[in-house]
Amino acid sequence: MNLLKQKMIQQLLEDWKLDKNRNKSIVHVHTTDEKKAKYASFPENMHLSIKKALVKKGVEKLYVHQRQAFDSAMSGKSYTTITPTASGKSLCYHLPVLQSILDDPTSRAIYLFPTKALAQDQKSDLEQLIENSEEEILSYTYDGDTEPGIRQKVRKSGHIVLTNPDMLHSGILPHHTKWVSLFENLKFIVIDEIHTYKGVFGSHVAHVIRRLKRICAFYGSNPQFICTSATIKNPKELAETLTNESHELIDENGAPAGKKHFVFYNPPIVHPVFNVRRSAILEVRDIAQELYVNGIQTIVFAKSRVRVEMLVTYLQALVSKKINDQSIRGYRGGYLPSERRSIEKGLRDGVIRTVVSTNALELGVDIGQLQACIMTGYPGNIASVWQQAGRAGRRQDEALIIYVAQSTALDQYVVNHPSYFLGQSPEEVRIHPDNMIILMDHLKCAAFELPFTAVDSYAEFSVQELLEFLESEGVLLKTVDKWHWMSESFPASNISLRSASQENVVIIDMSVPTKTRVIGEMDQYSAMTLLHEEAIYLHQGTQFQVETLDWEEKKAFVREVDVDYFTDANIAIELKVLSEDKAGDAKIGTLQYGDIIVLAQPTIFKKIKFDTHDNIGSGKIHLPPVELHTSSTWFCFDKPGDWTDTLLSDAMTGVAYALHAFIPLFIHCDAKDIHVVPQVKSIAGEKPTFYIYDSYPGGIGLSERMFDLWNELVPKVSEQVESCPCSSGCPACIGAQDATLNLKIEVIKLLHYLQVKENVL
Amino acid sequence: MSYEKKLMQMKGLVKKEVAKEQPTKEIKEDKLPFYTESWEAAGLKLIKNEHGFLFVKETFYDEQHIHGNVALHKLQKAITFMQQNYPEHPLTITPESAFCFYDTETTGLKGAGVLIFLNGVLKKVDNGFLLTQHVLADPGQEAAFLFATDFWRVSQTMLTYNGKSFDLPQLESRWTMNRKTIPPLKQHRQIDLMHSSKRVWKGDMERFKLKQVEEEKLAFVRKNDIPGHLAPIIYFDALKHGNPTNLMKILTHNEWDILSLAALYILTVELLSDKEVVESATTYTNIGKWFQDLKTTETSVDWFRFVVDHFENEEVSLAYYFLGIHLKRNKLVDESLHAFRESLKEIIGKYRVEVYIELAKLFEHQQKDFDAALEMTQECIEYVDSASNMLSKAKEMAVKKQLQKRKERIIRKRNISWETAQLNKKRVLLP
Repeated sequence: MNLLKQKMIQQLLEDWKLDKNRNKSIVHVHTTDEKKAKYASFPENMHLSIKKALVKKGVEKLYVHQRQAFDSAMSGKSYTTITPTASGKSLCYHLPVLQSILDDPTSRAIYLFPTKALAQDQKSDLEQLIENSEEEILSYTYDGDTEPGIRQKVRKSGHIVLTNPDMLHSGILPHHTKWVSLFENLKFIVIDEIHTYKGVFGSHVAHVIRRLKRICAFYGSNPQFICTSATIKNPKELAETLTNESHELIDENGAPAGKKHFVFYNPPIVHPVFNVRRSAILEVRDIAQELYVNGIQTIVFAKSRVRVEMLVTYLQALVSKKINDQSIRGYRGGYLPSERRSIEKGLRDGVIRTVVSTNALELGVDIGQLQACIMTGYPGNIASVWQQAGRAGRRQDEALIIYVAQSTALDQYVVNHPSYFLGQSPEEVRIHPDNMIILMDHLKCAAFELPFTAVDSYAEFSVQELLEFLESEGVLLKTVDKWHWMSESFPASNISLRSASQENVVIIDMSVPTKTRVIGEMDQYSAMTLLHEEAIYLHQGTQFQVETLDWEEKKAFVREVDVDYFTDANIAIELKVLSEDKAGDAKIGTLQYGDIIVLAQPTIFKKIKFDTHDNIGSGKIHLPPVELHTSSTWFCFDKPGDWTDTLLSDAMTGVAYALHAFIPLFIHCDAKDIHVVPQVKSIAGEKPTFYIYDSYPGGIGLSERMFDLWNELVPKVSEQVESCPCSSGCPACIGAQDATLNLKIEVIKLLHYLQVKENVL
Repeated sequence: MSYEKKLMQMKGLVKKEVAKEQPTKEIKEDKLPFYTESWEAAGLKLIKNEHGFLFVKETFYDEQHIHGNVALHKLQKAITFMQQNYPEHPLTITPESAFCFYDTETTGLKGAGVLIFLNGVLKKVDNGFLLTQHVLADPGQEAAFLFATDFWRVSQTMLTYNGKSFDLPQLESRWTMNRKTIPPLKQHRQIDLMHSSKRVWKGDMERFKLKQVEEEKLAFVRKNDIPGHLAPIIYFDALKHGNPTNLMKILTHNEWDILSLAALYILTVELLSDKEVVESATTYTNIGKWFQDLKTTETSVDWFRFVVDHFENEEVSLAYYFLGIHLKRNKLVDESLHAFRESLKEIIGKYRVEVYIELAKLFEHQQKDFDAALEMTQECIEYVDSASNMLSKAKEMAVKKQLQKRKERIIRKRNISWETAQLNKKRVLLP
């Protein structure tokens, strides 16, 4: 069976080389060879029952990284391991934790997973190990699903508590007096998949960890940290920022890997003048169909929920004649847990042959071994590429990974520069615990949990002035030597770790009036553009039309429909400058950095036909604006004399498009983390201005780096636009344009004008 | 200016520092708060102990004090009655330990940041009762405030209203927060009078807020009471501005709560001890049910008999049901049949379903009267169909399935018994 599979992947590649059409689209194939395992013996001092459990599991020796982890733990160090998917990374923490509990049964450990689902998944793995060891070790998940009846038991006697940062934040830390035996005896804090703690979420989690450490100190414990991460550039730095503790890095991977074929695929040009390529989605559909027909179990990654649903709809046409066929499924956040569990099981059992997923399946959810992986477009960062690619050929099998480029500038750059993610080191993951709003949020929570003294600092921050501010806001009260919480409110419940807006919109299906049911949920920001009234919402390939969006109550009522279009919404942006912190003068203008307010409001939506992607109608969206306070770098310049406002406006839009497309390449962030907005007459200075701002409240340091990189950015962008093969602008450089305007030349002119090398900013 | 704007302007204030050990010296200054005099003038007394200071108010009630319509002097009699008659009952205050009535006021509902600012304790003393109310002088004086109670010295029985899930967990939490300073909290036995009230008046009262119990059962009506949910704001305000007027109203609120606890205890025990008709049949049936759940069967049967002897019509139907169950357990088939039949006359709701099923069982298994068993089952099916929303959907499905099975089985049995009868007839005829 195995032989047959491998042959099929090879055969397929051979066939594609001979197929003229396909071969034209294959830009590059990169094959990595099989890698042999590197082993180490079991540590001598490891308890016999743990050895026994490992042997029962079929593990006769450890991989080198697992052994190194065990030894570091025993010497009392905090450490971070970077290991790809399926390299036995969970043993890097299970072993020392179990060892510590067998050494001293009062020992406790907390495992933190990014989601509830992952914690529940990892629990079965851990339970099996404990069962095989035949020791009395109690492990529990503690989350919103935990039965009230056993909560008491978890608090008092759970050796290992598996939870998530949100639960720690609002369910455990504010109630620490109920967890005395845990906090008194906490030996290890395990944080799995730390690369997922980035941006604003990661910054929140960094504070949750700081609060956790503060509580531990109160109860006299000083736990060690064990972190695991996917391959990123700065795992040690990230772990240290996250935990405010120095870490040892374990990056030698002893696990074996199978042969992998990495195919760079660029859809054919269908309109040479406009440099328009065939839609990546349609191309992915065709490739996925081919793999499906050949019986190759495949995971398809798409970047958005809408795309996942579109692809599922397309692919399910393959099996539409079979009754109740479950072999092609979608998977993404917003599905109910039971639905997700059944999909995961279907993948492991092999019943599901093709799954289309958002990045939800990048993480350590156990879905077993798949043979092929298709990425619809560049996932936005290299770490994700490797996580997604790791889904194929997990267990030493030959694997096929196909990257299908979209027509965006970033994708076109990547597909034509395979070395960008084959050769280059993956990006940094940045968090910014200094973000004022996030810091203040957690300072409140910390003050609620344990009063600060008049000389206390909070982690690395000296906070006495901030505490004074909170007193002036009426939240704290200062007595002789301490700051006391003096408010009726429970601060953790007003602070969501996941996004600026805390409450999700619940999606309710009312197709059958007597049987209304909840089919999913969505964050507010996405809901503005995906769940407005008349939007077509796709769920497991079924189309629903949003009938009513109750914004106050955060409920969207949908009804099943069957139409041949999807919807796409526009957002209007208004900007106000709050403060100017840094400035640099150039001959033609000023570059500034500071804080701004962004008002975002969805305006209209378009109905777009499937397959042809024609615009077939539009409508207005009536929703209140969402406010964002963030940091920004903006360049305000004198209007070049001979330009009309209209022309300038069009050219600036093109420049903004190009800037936005290339910024992620310079500072390694997701395109959605940063925005570029052009204004012909800015509200502040009446002059043409480009604003570059962070997508998160308070900013996470991205636009601040653009202040330093402005002089490098503009020439590079200019170069890219000039070298683009299109004649008058295309999605790969300045966005699609009307050919008669010949805007590309104007954009290049403006980019040259903006180059201010001679001036020191 | 919005909160976010203010924060943005404070960016410059955040300084990072290299982690250095802070000298955690205990600043022990006995600087009295600025409002000491005005609080004292309002009737609070400042007291000091080795951990600082707190305010206290003591109120004495003589033996003759009456709260609502309950005379407090009857407390001793009530305690003795329970000790002598029901030593194992959850309402019994054990003779070997001290007891108190206890109620707190707090600055919020949940979490480690919520303070208790008022501990009210009522104790029996010579010639009367003494209410001691400790007031947290300021949040920095918590250790002194907790240390002033005797909860760390003496293990005792604490009588509360909803204390099991609120006051006591709060107290434990506050103790944990001060664990470095004060001796550990002793284990205390709890009697939660909200639980006993629910046992006794379930179905008789709709809500079990202490206020409802006071008005309906103790004939005590509060005048100018401050609602408990305002307590946090009032306490914060008293700290900030020093004015104790509203704070003293909270003390009164707490005083009423605690006096009601004592009165409620007396009233509840009286209901358990005197078989007199002062309450509804529901209440007495509840009391019987309570004793039944506590496995004191004889007492519970006495109560059910009391109900059927002193009330009539629909009031007695539930007691008859419980009697029927009891008689059936004691294999008194005819008597239990009678009781269930009496019950069936008026009983409604899910208990009616139970009565039908019990009757069907007795007819089927004991009397072998399959026609009667079938009739009961059929009527039950029709009743379940007619009364929608009486049972949860899942329960309704289960019951219907069970009834259908019973019906089929009875029909089968009836047919077999009919055939056997025929056969026997033949056999008799044969020779």
